[in-house]
Amino acid sequence: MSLPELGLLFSVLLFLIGLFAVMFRSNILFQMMGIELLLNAANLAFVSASKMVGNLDGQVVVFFVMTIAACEAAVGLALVVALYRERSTTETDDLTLLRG
Amino acid sequence: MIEKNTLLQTRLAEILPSATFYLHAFPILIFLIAAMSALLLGVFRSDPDKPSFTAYGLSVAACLGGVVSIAINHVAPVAYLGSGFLSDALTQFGMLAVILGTLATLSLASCTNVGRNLLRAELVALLLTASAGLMILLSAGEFLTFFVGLELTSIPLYILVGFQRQSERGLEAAIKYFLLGAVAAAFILLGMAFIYLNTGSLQWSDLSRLNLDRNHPFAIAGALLFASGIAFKLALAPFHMWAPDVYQGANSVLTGYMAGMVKLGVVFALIRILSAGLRDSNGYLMWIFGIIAALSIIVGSLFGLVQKSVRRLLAYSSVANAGFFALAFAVLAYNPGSEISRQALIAYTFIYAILTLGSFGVLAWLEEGVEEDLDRKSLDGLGKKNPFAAFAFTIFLIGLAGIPPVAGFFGKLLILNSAVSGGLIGLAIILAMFSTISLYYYLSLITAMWFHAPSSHTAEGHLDVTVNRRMHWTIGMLAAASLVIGIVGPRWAIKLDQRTARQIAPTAQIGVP
Repeated sequence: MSLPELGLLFSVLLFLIGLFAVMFRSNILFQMMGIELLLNAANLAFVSASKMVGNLDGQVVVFFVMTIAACEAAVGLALVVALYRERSTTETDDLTLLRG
Repeated sequence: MIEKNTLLQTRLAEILPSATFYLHAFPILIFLIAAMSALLLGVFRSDPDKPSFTAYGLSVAACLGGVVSIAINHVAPVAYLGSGFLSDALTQFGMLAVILGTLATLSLASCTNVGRNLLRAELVALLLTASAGLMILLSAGEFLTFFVGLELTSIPLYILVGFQRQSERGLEAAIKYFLLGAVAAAFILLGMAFIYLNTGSLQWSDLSRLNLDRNHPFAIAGALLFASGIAFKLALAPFHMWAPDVYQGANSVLTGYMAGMVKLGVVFALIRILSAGLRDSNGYLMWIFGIIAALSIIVGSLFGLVQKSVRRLLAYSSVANAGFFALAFAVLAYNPGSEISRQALIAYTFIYAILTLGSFGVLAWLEEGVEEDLDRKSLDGLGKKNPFAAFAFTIFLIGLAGIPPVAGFFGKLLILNSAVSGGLIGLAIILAMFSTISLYYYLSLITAMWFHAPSSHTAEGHLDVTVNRRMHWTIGMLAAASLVIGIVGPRWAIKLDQRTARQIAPTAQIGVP
């Protein structure tokens, strides 16, 4: 198996790990780490795909995605801080005000 | 050496936008500039927690400037930035809709006391950035710009949902929206990566090279991931779980923007993707969207029946209505050349945005001075206490339900028509059937408003005299728009849509200036 193919496979694995983190951890900070994993998995997939396809478009995407991931992390952390000030918790299990 | 220089120049000429680009992209640019200026205004204010009417004026000016630039621009399908920005009839129409929606949102926010307190420079900046993101989204011609536009819309919205920092509900809604939205973005991104792996290009015009068959599992996985990410963003079942919570927690005016305008942007982008000449000969995409459509209408109409909170009810109504988008996507995936379904999608998203903005605007009005969100009881006898609000809300509800005199009927009719002529008769029957079931909850709200006796629960929506008139005007305009499009509209609306739908140049056919 060539390196890019391995990278692609690894990105799928990374994506699954991130998805598990988001789905099964109840702490928002860990879930955010999971989201970073998801985005980086997609980045790795883009880089590997770029090598396999033979043009650089995929590698350009990665730079944009890194910026966007940073924005998302900043906003997410700000929300977590605001939540902690108001509710003194960072567990999603405690977010039960909104129910039908 | 000389040869190299000319080569560089031609490359640069290909990449750098020409002067007309700035004319065509003027609404986006002016929105971003206004957003930055509003942020700066916020920095120099002595009390940043006070509402800033300078920023408000600035945003209204930006909206007007955008409308004027669209009005004077010549429409000819052109691609800039290597098809990163397409300027055609769809772009123009979509930009106009986004600008008008932003204007309506701002105006509604300035009417209620809650909204006025929120109307700080930052809110204006975030709203304008989100709108600019939407305009980038609906004029994108390739995946990278699409993703940047999508995130430029989503990230400000995460903040806007939690903008009332003292509101525990708002914060909870913001966290939920953020987590699920970010996961959805990652899904879309991985889907893009897999599609890129198959086609070797990010351009939508190269999507016709996509091999959706059993020998290319990555392409199918990519399409599936992309479709589910989009379904998250459009609140389609089974990815709708965030919608009721977020709609319940956020400020009503912003909810209206989030529900109506974001859908408009995403749907317009999807029209471009699906009509790019995808070959879906095995019908995978059609099945994905078809199943999503059926699930959405079923979940939306059945779960809506048992909701007590009016906002949650409207959230399920939006899930049910989004089912119609998915149906049109299925038709379009099956038959990319289907002009009739493109037309139906353009008309329906526009109408849906008006109805959503209007209905959440009325809710914002009625919630004035109420701590909790409204339950069904608080609408009892509204017709006697506040006949104008009750009448407008009735119009919007009838529109969402899809009953004739209001525009919603016309949108649904077009979509069902395109599905039937596209051969998806079974799905069309399911959607029509379940939208009849959903009629129950719309009508129960209407009967509560007009035929129940008012009680102490009844929300009045008491406003100061000065803002009261503006609230009447804004809501009245939205209601009138949905009525006019519903009654006299079909003929010219169809004409307009036809023109727009025909001029959506699949990116391959757009010339470079």
